[in-house]
Amino acid sequence: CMQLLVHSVSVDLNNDASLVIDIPDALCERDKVKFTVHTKTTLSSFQKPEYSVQRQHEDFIWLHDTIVETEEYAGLIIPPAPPKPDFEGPREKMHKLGEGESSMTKEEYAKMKQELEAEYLAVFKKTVQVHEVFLQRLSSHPMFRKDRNFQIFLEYDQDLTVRRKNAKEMFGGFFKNMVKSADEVLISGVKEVDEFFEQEKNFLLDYSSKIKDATAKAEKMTRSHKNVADDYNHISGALNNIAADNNTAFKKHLEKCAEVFEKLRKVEDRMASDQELKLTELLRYYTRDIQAAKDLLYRRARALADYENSNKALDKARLKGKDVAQAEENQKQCLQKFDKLSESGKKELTSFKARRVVAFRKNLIEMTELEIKHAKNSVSLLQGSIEVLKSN
Amino acid sequence: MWFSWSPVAWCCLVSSPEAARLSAEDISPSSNGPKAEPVLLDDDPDDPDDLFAGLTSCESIELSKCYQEQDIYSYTVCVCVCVYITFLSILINFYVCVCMYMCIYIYIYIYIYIYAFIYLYVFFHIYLFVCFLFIYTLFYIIYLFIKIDHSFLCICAHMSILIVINFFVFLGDGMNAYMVYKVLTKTSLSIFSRDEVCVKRRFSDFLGLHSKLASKYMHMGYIVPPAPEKSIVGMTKVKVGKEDLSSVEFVEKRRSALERYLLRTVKHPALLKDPDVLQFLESSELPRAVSTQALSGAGILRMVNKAADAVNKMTIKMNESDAWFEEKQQQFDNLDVQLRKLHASVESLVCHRRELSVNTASFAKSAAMLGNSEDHTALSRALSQLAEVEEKIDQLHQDQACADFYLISELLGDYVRLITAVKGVFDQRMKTWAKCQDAQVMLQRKREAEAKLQHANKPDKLQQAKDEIREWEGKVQQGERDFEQISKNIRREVGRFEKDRVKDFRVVIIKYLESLVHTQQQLIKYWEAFLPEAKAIA
Repeated sequence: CMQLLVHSVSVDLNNDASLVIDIPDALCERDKVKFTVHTKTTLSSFQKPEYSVQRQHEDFIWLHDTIVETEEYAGLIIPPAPPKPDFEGPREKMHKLGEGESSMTKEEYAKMKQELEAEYLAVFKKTVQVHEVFLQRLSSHPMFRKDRNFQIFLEYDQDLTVRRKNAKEMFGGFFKNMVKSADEVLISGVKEVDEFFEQEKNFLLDYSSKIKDATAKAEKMTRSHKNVADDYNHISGALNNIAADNNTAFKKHLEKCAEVFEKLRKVEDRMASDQELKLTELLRYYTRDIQAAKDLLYRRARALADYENSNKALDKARLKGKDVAQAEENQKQCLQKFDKLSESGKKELTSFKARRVVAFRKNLIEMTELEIKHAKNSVSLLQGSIEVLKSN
Repeated sequence: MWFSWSPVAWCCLVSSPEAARLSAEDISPSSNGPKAEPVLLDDDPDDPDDLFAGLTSCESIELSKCYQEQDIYSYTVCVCVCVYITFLSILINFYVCVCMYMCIYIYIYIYIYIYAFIYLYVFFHIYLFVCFLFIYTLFYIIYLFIKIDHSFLCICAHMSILIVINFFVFLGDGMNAYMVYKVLTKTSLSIFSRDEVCVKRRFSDFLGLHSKLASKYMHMGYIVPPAPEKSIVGMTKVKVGKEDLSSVEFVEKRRSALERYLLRTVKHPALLKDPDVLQFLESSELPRAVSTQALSGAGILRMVNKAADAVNKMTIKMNESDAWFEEKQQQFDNLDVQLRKLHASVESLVCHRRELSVNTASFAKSAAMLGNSEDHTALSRALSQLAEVEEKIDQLHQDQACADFYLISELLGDYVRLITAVKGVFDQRMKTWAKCQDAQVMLQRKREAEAKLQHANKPDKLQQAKDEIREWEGKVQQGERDFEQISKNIRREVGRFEKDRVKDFRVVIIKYLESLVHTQQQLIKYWEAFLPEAKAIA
């Protein structure tokens, strides 16, 4: 496949120089993508100041899962796991290209190959960025950066050889998910004492469905935009074909037109991909993040339910007169856990909102500026070509 | 006298650039307003016996504001220059006349011959001066004439014809309902009886006109523009559910196709003078063209003929003596394939852009809902603004898709059909050649028969044979003449077709690019309006 050298995209998560992570390059082999994770640190807990290790997507998933399963982090919003690299689109195109090779001219084939490579590159860049952001969020959080597993992930220079989940574990995971969603429904009926959390719960439930919908629609929109750009490419090819046959001054005219469409296609493509990167990716990421926030609320609600259960158990024990101390101990623990979760949850959710607003602002501004820039480019390109064509 | 001639030259120089000016127009097919497409006829020095050679077709639907300003400015300049030159020449002429008269007065008693010469000179001068005055006045009157009617783009002595298809009504009901189109013809040509005619025509009338023209002119080698295609599905949809968007689009598509068909037909110099065309455009009652119905007797006959033609085409092996025809045929075959591909790509562009517009609209709604549920007020406002911007952009994409369609896609479709007509004309030539060959074979056979009869000594049959030979000799000669004629016609027609094709494409591409520029500029406007909103998120 290909190798890619990317520069770190989101700088604001790397503000703290004590632990700086980035993914400088990635290699694509068949179906697997190997990321090179580069760490620079001044923390004492690390043995060396600089590391560079090769990690696969499964390793990231393993890291995420272990953090989720850690009891200590129950009160924190755990950064969502990066999605699996999805090369389905380019792969489909490559297939179509292979099939249609005989029916296309050389130029058409070369053009389609170009298109394909551009799309491949875009997907590649996206997946690298998403993985990088995941690590950077972990490193910028005061609690996660101290996590032992995280450190192993960054340090261990051999292959982590994370055992892929076998069938039983996958099924178990699936079952657990089902139980969890059933649980969520039950727990959402639990009465909330805290005003703040009640508001947050309602807001998050509503928002998550809306943002999922918006993500889907944005994806469709950018997809159609890319189709339009591809059509310009085909038109340009067809015009070139017609020009090849004409041997008059008209030929130059047609060739100029074909060139215009070619350039127009590039601009439209950039517009579509920038819109995708800034808007669609933003929405996608926050869909996952909102899900993580909802998980936090779920954990807290679970703790509340546990606390109420322990209360009921204590009352029952007091009635019966046995195991009272145990029940009391249980109740105190539950209460402690619940309080801890509530406190850290509140902090997390507030900072989450601030973070979300900042990210939306940054991305919306960047997207708007890029769209304006591309539109201006295309206006100047078109006007220049109109001048040339009129003078012919 | 050189200074008297220069005003005329100057006037011609100033007015000729106007002839080639085109304006950018704003096509909005949703409006049922008149769409003016004036066709202007030039005197082309290349082909002196073809009065209407070198036609320019200009489209001006709504003259853009800047064009109007430019227009008035240049016309004012022209008039001022004319007036200035008139006065200057009047002054100079007057001065010269006075001088001359003074000379005459002085020398009248000395040189009688000089007197005569000067008298003649003065007279001639005054005559010229009056002529120029007359010409200037003529120019001015024409200019005023054109100023009043903005549909014409050229001043000076140009004749023009304008056809607008407007206003359609639905007559009848149920499945027998049919669409009636109002065809408005505005012209200054003398072959028309009136300046402005408005007639009502049905779609089958157009098809009838085409079939009549095809039967008259195709075999002579003229490229008869093909009529728009029948569409049973489309028409049925319109008849059944008149209100929805796709039927409105279908009707608009058909209306503009019929308009383009008529304009192309009158652009052809021979077809313009044809009595059928004149009758079509002028007479209020037209005999119903039944033969165009698919299941009528004539329809079935047509299908049988088409099949027979196809078989013939495969069996006739023409001995091509003229390399030009072979080359052109090859060229047109290639062009056909390539145009079809281009048309397919443009259609897919239209389809995808429509999709983009739909998706943008649904995203806008979704973003609005997201903004509603967002509890941070500034972000909520920004998201609602984003939804509004996306809605406007969706409308923009829709308009652009319409422009894509009506400007390019329909034109390409027309040309694909035109090339089929051109190929048909080449086939006609082949058929003529085949007829000529058959006649020659027959003549040969008759000659052989006559030779045989001569040996057999049957005087009465011999006479008959000789008569037959003469008849067939005549037919062979006629066949050869026909073949010559059709070849000559085809050469001229193909030349005209190529010129028109190049002109049309040039004009359309520029218009299309201008529409793209307009869209992008609107995009810039919308995004720039949104930017401060995005920055205002605190």
